[in-house]
Amino acid sequence: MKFLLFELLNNPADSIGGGGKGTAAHVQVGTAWQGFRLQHGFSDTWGWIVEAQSVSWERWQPSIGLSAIWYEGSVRITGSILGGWLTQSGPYPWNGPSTEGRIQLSKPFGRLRPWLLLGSKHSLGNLRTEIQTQDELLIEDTLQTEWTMTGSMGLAIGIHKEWELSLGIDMPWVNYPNITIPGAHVAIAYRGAP
Amino acid sequence: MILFFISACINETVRYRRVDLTGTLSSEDMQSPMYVSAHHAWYDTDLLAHPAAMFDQEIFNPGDFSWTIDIPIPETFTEGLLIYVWQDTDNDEVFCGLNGDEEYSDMAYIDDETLFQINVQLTPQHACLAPEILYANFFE
Repeated sequence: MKFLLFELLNNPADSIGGGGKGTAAHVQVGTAWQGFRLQHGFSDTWGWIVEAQSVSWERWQPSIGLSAIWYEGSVRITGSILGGWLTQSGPYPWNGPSTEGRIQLSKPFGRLRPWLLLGSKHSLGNLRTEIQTQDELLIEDTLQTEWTMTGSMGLAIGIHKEWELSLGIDMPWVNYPNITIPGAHVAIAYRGAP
Repeated sequence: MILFFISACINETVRYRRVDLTGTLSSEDMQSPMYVSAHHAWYDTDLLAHPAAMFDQEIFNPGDFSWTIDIPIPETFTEGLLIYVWQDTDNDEVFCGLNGDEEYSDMAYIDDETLFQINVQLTPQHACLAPEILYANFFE
């Protein structure tokens, strides 16, 4: 019966849908998005988040942040704001501070729980231009910004006691307005009781 | 403090070598514009290696010209500098376009990659030869 914790306890922690009191975590693997999230709700409304996201193992975004439950009823709606760092290798390198705001929504139906995540990520960095002239080396830094919108949806399934399996599709828009290929992921989640 | 923090975040460094190019573009036709372009003689390695990789272009009138170019220094292999010119005698902005004139081109090859002052003398005289063919025929 423990897989029904989400429905029986008030404000259970939930890393897939977001928010809740107590500790929850999940690890996600997929193509092309991977990551983990650890969160702890320290009150009925507020909690902190530590997480790291990766895209194809070349783009990494570790972050810490705060989350709050905006609405708790038949549907849970949470909002989160995070700050961290974005580093990317490969042909389009990036190295700079990042922020992210997101809204998560989930609704339980027994063991099943569809969820939706919408987010907006922003990052700053510099393009350095070095021009060697006959007399001197000219150096110019140009501020660059990146805006990535994220959209994921999926279904979490209670599999054993406090563990869930989540299947999701990712429809991000990395470095808008560039088009990004959609992805899919599977996650194993632990949601703790307060 | 914040500005210092942000300025320490370098995504990428792109490097150039600034060269002052001077010379003469000679032609019997002193009215039609000359399209001058700068190319790496060779760019990249293995399957991606290719000749005459253009990185800048400018239009000049026949006669003496002066042009400052910033030659990209990419992470990958590059070799040599090509200065290519063709004259747009039919003013269609296309080199040897369909139903147009037979137009002429010329090229200079500079293999010394330490120069900051380069002088070239170019006289379009090769009928409808694109930079890749011109380089392969005369400089490789």
